[in-house]
Amino acid sequence: MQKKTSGASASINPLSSGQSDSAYFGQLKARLRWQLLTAYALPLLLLALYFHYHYTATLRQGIDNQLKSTAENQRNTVDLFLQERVSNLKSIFRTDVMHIPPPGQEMENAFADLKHESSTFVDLGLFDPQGRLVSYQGPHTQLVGKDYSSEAWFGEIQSSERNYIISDVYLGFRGKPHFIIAVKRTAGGRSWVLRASVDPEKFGQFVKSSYLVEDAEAFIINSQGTRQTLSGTDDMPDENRPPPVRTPETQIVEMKVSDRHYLKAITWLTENNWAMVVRIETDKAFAPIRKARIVSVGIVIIALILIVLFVFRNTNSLVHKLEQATEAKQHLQHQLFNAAKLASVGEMAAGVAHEINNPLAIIYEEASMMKDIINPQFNREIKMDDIRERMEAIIEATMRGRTITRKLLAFARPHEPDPEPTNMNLLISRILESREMDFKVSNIEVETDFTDDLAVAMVNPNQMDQVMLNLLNNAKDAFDGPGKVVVRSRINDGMVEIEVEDNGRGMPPDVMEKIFFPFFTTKSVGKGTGLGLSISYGIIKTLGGNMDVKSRPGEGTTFIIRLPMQKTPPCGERQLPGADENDE
Amino acid sequence: MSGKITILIIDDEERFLKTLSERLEMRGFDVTTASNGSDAVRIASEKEFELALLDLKMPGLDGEQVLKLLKENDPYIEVIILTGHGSLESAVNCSRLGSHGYLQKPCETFELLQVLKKAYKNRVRNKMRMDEDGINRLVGQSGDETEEAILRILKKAEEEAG
Repeated sequence: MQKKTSGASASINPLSSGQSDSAYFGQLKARLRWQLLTAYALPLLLLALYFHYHYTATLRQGIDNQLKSTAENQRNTVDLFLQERVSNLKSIFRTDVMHIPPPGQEMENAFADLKHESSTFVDLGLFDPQGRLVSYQGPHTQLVGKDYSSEAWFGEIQSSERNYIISDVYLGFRGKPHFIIAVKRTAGGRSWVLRASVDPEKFGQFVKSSYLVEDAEAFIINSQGTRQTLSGTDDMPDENRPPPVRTPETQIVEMKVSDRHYLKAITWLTENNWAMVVRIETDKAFAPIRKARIVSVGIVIIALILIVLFVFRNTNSLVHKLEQATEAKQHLQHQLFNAAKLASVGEMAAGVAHEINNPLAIIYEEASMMKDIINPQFNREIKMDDIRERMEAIIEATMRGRTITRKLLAFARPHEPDPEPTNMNLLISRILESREMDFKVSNIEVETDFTDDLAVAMVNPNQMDQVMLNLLNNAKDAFDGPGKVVVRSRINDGMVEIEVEDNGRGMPPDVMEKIFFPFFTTKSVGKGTGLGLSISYGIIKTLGGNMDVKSRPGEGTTFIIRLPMQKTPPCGERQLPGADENDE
Repeated sequence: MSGKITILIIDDEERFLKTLSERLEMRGFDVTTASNGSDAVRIASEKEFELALLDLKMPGLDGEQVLKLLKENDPYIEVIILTGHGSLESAVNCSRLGSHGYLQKPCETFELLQVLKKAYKNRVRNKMRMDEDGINRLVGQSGDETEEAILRILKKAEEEAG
């Protein structure tokens, strides 16, 4: 776009305040960009957020459910396992299978059968109703004969209505972790107990070996939260938390254990007061969610980048087009101003031409008369005084002509676009003088009421001339016959106010509201272009002032112009030719 | 007074008015002057004028209004517009109001007298209901063809007709 060379703050819209063009367009561009970006980005972000959270919630649910079902499957498997082990034990403790006390090989055979069923069995022991180990098969033969009556499990099975128990993992007399499955056989009010120990490590292997979700660990805890099986990665038996409450449904919890975050499913066994825990590191568990998040963010970022590119490109091209259009309009406006100025110069020229004809006529008659005087045909006495008088009349007439052409020249000044401090009283006087004849001839009295203060306004004198001429012409046209026009100037509120008041025919409100519109005219076809007031309005607005009108039909019209002032009188104020040579 | 064509000159330029009227007097017209429209109308109502020279742009009564009033006062008066202004529109208007000619200032004396002669012929024709041939016959008799002479003859003829 071309740089503007007319330095003045001519705004794009003469009806707007005097803000520079580039600032306006800069602001417009920024405003448009923000608006569009918000309009596009906001829904995108909102939707992305919504769907992201919805999706990740679904994903999470899926992950939870998977973990749950894994835990439950595991739990079921373990339940089944325990049931089978109990069943194993029960079947070898049948009255027809084992005698009390068992003779010879019976225990050995029974233990072999057990081991056959499952390799998790460590040993087998028979306890009398007093709790003494009477018969034993297994590695810890030192236990034989010990009194187990005060052991928790013994008391529990003796008092339980159920004929079997499964204990938690404990160390016991042997000093090694194990848990037991015990069945009792009651005869005559006395119960014998057959007990088998289960190797928790092997049991743990079993638990672990079942189908698991990738990266998950499974283990069993008791109602106090103590681990019963050993898990793969660490051997910490205790979990740092309050013991879980037994619930019929599977629980899913997120938990931090020694700086690692885990997602856990806890589901309670039916056979025992144990819970199956399947846990997986949240990093691994939530990997799909993380991935989804990254993808969403990636998509949103790409979309945002595209939006930004698009918005910037579009606003740039849009504003550029606007700038071009505005420039074209300003160009047209300048042309219009010039055309209007030419038109008023034309008007002025006509007036001036007329005025010049009179002095010329005088010169003609006086010169012709002098010819007549020296013409013998007329037989007139040649009187020197007479001749002299006539010569003087000719000279006076030429002087009159000079005044008139000067007025015309003063009007046709070269164009200066920048506003400069201008004495409004002087300017108005000059214009009034140039139209003096015209008003006199139309029988219109012109009165001035100028302020005594220095009414200096920042205006372009050329344009101001045009405005004043326009207002005076309109005032003159407000009359069909004689009338009076008053031109006032004053300083008000830091601005120079100029009033042109006529007591002509005035305007009704519906005309008044359109009076500044271009091409609006109340004159008949060919008499007025309707441009004068709209151009004047534009000029005043461009200068940073404003223009107003008051009117009453039948009473008259007043136009009021307010112009910004130069605060301090400038040095080197523009002088009219021939004015005050003392300043030189 | 008799034998001279009476003419009323109306113009607000005093100097011009004075000198022109002097020059026309020197050429045998009986000139009366007025410097504004209302004076002119008043003067015309008091005395009969055969011709009038009228400026348009004057203070007070507008030139065209003066024209109208003069014609109302005496339809046989021939009014010639002599103006510094001049537009086709104005000329047409004045013609419609009954003016005989439309001249622009400054105007050459020769042309002015030509127009005055034509105007006077027209007046005689209208007033005496004479046609062009009759007038030419009257003029041809004298053998003198200067404007002044022609006008004199015509004037005489009119006076004799009463």
